[in-house]
Amino acid sequence: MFPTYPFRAFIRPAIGLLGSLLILEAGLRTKLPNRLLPQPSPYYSEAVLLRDKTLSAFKKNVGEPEVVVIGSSVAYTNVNAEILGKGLGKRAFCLGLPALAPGSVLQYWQNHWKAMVPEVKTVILVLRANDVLTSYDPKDDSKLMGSRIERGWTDPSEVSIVDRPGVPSLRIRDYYGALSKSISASRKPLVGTSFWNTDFGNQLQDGKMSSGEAESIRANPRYKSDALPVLATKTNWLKIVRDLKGQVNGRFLVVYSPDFGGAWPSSADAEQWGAEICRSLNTVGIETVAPLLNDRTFNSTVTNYEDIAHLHQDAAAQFTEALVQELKRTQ
Amino acid sequence: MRLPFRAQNLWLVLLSYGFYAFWDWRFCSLMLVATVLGYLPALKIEENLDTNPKLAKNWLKGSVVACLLILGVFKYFDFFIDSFGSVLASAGMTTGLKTLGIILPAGISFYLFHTISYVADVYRKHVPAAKDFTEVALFLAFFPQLVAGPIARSSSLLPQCQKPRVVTEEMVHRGLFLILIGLFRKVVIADTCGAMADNVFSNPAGQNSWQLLLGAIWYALQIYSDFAGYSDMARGSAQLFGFNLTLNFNHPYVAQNMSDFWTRWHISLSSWLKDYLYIPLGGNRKGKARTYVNLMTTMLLGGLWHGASWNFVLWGFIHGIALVVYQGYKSLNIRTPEGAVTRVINTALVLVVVGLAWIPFRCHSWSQTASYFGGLFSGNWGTDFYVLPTVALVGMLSLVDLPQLLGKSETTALTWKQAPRLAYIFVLISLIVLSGDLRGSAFIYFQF
Repeated sequence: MFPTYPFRAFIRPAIGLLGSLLILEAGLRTKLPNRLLPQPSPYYSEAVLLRDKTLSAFKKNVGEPEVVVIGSSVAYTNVNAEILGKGLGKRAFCLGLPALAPGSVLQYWQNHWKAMVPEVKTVILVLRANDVLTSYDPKDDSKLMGSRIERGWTDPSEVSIVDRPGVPSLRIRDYYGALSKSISASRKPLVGTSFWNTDFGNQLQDGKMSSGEAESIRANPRYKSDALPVLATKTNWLKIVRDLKGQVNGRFLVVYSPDFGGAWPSSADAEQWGAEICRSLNTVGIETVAPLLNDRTFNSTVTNYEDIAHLHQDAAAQFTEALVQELKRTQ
Repeated sequence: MRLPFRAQNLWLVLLSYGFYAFWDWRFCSLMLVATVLGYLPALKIEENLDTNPKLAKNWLKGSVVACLLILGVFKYFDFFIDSFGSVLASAGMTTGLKTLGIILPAGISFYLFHTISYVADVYRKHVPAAKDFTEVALFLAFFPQLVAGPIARSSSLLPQCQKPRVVTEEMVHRGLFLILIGLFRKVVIADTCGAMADNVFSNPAGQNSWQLLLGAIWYALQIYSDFAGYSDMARGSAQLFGFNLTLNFNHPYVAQNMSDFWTRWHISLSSWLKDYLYIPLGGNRKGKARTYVNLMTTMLLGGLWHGASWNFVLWGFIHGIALVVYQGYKSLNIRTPEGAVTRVINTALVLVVVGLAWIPFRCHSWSQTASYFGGLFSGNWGTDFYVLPTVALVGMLSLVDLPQLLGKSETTALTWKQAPRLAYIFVLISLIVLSGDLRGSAFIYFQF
């Protein structure tokens, strides 16, 4: 005779594991985790965690933000929140994150930023031309939401890496990995540079594009003015921005940030694109501002840019001053 | 349905080969060759040991040399060609020799060491040669210990392959608890420390002394938790199948001296090196000088076992020197006061040596190692002494190691009363879930 395998010995540990997960799930649905634990996993990138710390310090030292700037990297490089705040006489803070497609911006606002800035009165979304061409598939949201949604650009390999099975509504799923990421991110002030280089949530650029780099930028054939209506209607950017506006309690407006002039077939194309994007947004009731869009000298000056879309900090200051003037004018 | 134990063996062999094939099915044949190199010579050794000892010894030599040749080709060929080329190049000569770009099969160092220990044990009459090929195949390929040990000894594991195994409720609970502990070590501590250590080691030139010191501490925590975690999970998994694998780690970072450290760290490798290298070299039986030479030789080869890199040799060299110094100090018979303070100082000294030795072990090149040590001893300490993550991670480690140390058993928590036991398990599960890395990360010792 051969000994009987004690399968029943697994019953108690299995019940224990299930019980632990249920208790954990219930616990994560209370308010306690918000106070005790770091942000759940969709927002656990180091940039987010570090900026959450910057925001906490801002709230402590300055107060709750009244104006916030959201969007991808152009938001935190091109709009200087300190200058914006001073110009408007309000407390302004920048919340942009690297490489966010418009759909990811929406997800971030819904699931993270909105709760972080409860007293905000004005939300400014910074868009650039490329944002309207992003092939952002809304059905990827659920996959990206469960992971690093800051990788929401168009690389499908990222989706496969971050995809994981599970019930989307589980809080455990959201908090999975939050603790270790938080611990490893907290070494950043010690090892390496802090991602945000201002107290206002900006990462201002001190590098300037060289003339060689500028020459290497070729005019994007998709940026021809007659291509916009075709290309932009293939993506869902307009619906996403409209949905975003619906999530905001207060003033919502879009700031169009111009790309370096060398990226365009002609200055006229650049201006027409900006104008067309603003017009499209206006038709669905969204307020827009396009500072310096028609300033051909500004947009074609190589040293104003750090690369194709990101401004040098001096140019960002100039761009922000122009934005302040526009906002004051339209208030 | 319950299988007879021989059928269980066959089933486990198939599962283990399937497990290995997930990594690369082509190298299953290499494992099969290693099995034949153990099975056949062992039978021949046993057959001739009393009647024709010379022939038996030749079978032993043949098997060991064949194993070392395989190891040499797959693990060290490119390394020695590279090193040879570099030496000649520094003398202004070119060789025209080319490396083969050979893939290193996962766990090759582990299963070939199994083969060597098996034929050597048969030769020493420590175990009888197995008549059933499946038993040897299972001894070599048993999946929990296949790719990263513990390095099983034939006298311990082979008999378990040769008779029906009994799995009790206690073994199941113990096995599952060991898996939980191992998962905690890997996911909560090792992966977190790894993310932090990687940041420092990737650019040592850009860090100040304090940052480099923390980087070394984080790596020390990572490699211990990573490897001990794997060993716990391997031993726990084996228990579920009725096998007892040897203990591989016994709280090495509380060792009192370097000799003590090597009775606690990677125990299965250190005892293997002791039995099959250090003692055959003469051990401590041939005078002080020879003992020191044997220690150095063992540690240098132990370093090289980890991988084809001079950095591993340097790691072995540091440990060899430390052991020689300790043995020299011990031979002076100097009386030292006993007590808690002495124990703390002893442990601190061991940690300094072990921690410094981890630096070349983790670095990829001499230049990176030199840069790391240069920065560490530059005296530029910076002004920010941010230690919270380190304190948090040491606290996490204590959560597992402290009860084990105090209870003198790795599963001591299972003997606690129900409420604290359940609370403890709940905390471990919670921390694993909250710390889990989405993409997972490989175990460090898989590469060896």
